[in-house]
Amino acid sequence: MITDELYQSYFDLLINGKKRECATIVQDLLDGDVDIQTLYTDLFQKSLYEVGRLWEFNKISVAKEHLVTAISEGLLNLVYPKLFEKEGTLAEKSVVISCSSNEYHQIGGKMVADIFELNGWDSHFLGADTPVDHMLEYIQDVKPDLVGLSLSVYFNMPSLKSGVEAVRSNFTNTDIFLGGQAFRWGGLDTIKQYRGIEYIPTLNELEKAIKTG
Amino acid sequence: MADNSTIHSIVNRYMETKAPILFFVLSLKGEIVSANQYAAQLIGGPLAGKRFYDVIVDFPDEFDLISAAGDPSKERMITVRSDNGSPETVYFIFEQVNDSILAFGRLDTDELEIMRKEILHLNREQSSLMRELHKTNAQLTQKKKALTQSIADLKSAQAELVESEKMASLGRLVAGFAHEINTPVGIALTASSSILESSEQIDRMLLQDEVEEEELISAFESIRDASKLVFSNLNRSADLVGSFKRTSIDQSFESVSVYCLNDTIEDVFASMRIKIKNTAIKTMFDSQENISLYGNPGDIFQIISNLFDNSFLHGFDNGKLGGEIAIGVRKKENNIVIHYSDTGKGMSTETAERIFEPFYTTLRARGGSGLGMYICHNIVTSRLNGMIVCNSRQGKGTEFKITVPITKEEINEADTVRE
Repeated sequence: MITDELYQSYFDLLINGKKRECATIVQDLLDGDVDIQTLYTDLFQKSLYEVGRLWEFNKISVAKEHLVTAISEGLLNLVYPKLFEKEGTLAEKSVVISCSSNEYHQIGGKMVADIFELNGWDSHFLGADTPVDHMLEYIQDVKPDLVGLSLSVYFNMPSLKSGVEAVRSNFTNTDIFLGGQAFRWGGLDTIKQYRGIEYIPTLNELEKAIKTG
Repeated sequence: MADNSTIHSIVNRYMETKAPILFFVLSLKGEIVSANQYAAQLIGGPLAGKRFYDVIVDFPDEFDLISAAGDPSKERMITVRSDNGSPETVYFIFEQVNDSILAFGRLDTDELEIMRKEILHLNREQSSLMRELHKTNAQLTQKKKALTQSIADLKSAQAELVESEKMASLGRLVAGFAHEINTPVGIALTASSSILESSEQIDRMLLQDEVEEEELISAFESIRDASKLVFSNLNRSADLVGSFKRTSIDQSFESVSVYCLNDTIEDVFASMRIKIKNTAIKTMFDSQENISLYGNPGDIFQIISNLFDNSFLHGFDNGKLGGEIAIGVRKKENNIVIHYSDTGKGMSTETAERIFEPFYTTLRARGGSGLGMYICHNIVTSRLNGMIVCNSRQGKGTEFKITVPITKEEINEADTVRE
C-alpha cells in the first residue's frame, strides 16, 4: 500500500514543511485501512531516519529536523483513533515507556508505546526528558510488566545508564528493554552488564518480540 | 571618534538589516530621525518623527539620553512598546556622533533561547497529552459500551424475573383454587354417594311385596336433600371454576375487555379466603357502585392479590396476627380510586420509601423475591397509566391509594349501561 512513489512524495512534502498535504496522505492511507504497523515502519520511521541522516551530514538544519519531528508527531494524532479504538477485552499486560532525562527526542518512544498498544498491551508513555525520580514514581504506581527506555542522542548515554541503574535496583524483577538511534554508535556493552536488559533495534523487531512473548 | 563617511556606511549597513537588532538615529532632543526595519517591525512603524521617549515603556521622563550617550560602553536595559502588544526588553547602547545619537539595541538571546526550548517542551507535552486523551477517550468508550451491555443484560434478567414471578403468582393462584374447590366437590361427592345409597334402598324396597310408606318417603327425602347439596355445591364449584378461569386466563393472556371491578376484587377475596380461613384476619370490601373498567382484569387481580399477600405475610406476620384488610372503591371525577388498607404491623420509613424498588425485600432469607410490589407499581403506572402511593406507620398499618384514570371505553360502557 505504501509504494516507493508514495513514500517519496510524502517525504518531499514533509521536508518542505507541508503539514496539510502530509496529513492528507496519512488520512487517505488510514481510510484505506492501511496496516498501522506498516504505516509506522514504512512511512513514519523511514522518513524520520532519513531526516536524522540528513541532519547528521549537515544537509538540513536542526530547525528543519525539529519541524519534521513536530509534523510527524502531529500526524500520529490522526492514527490514534484507529489505534486505541480497538475492540476486545482490557489489556492484561502493561508497559511504561520513557525517554531518559535530557533526551528531548520523544517520537521514537511514542511510536514504540503505540506498537505495544496495537498488540494489546496497555502502554504508558512518559514523554521527553523524564527525570529519573519521576519515572520511578510512575513505575511504582503502574507496576508494569516491562519498562522501555528510549535514547536518540548518543551523548545522553550517561543519563540513560543512571535510569537503567535506578530501575534495576528499585524494581529487580521488572524487565527492561532499550531502543533508539543512539545505540548505532555503541554503548550497549556498558548497559548490558545489568541483568534482564534487552536491546530492540527496530519497530519490526519490537513487534516480533511482542508476538513471541 | 569615527569620521563621517565611516559612520554613514555603518549606519546604512545596519539600517537595512532584518536581524534582531534595533538601530536608531536620534536627534540630540530624542527625536527619531530614522530606524532600521527590525525596529519598525518590532515597535510598529513608521518611527521617523516620533520621540524615542515615546517608545520607552518604563519611566521615559527619567531617562536622560545625553548622559546615556556619554558612556557608550554601558549597556542599558530598556523596555520598549511592541507591535504585538507585549513589551519587549532590549539592551541598548547609545553613542553621540556629531549632532546625532546612535542607539543600538539587542534582544536578550538567552531569554529567546529559553523561550524556544520552553515552547518545544510545551509542544511535546501537548502532543503526549493528546495521545493520553485519545487513549482515555477510547477506554471510556469501551467502558461505556460494556456498561450499556451490562444494563441491557440486567434489564433482560429483570424482565425474566418479573415474568417468572408472574408465573409463580399464577401457580399460587391455582393452588389456592384447587384447595377452595376441593370442599364443594367433596360435599357433592358425599351427597351423590348418599343418593346412590338411597336409590339402592328404594330398589330393594320395590322388590319386596310390601313397602313401608314412611320408609319410602324417608328414602326419597334423603335423595332430595342430597340432591340439593349436590346442586348447591356443584353450583359453587362452577362459580369457582368461572372465577378461576376469569383470573388465570386474564393473567396469562393479554385479553382486553370491559369488566366489572367489584367482581374482580371479590374474586381476589375468594382466592384468599382459604389463606385467612383459620386466622383472625377479617376482610371488608366497600364499593358505592358497580364500576366498569376497560382492560385486562388480570391487572387489577394481580395488584390486589399482591397487596393482600404482602399484608398477610408482612403486616400480619404470616397470619399469626389478627386485624382487618379493607378495600374501598370510589369514582372521583375522571378517576377511579382504590383505597387498600390493613391494620397490620406497618413498615419503617426506609422500607416504605423503597417498597416499589425491584428486588427490595425484607424477607430475602425466607425466599422473598422483592418483585411483588415492583410489579404492582409497573402495572399501575405503565399499563393503567395511573399512580400508586404507599403510606405506612410502624405499629399502625399500611395503606395504598391507587388512582387510575377512566378511559374512553369505560365511559362508553357506563353510558350503554345507563341507556
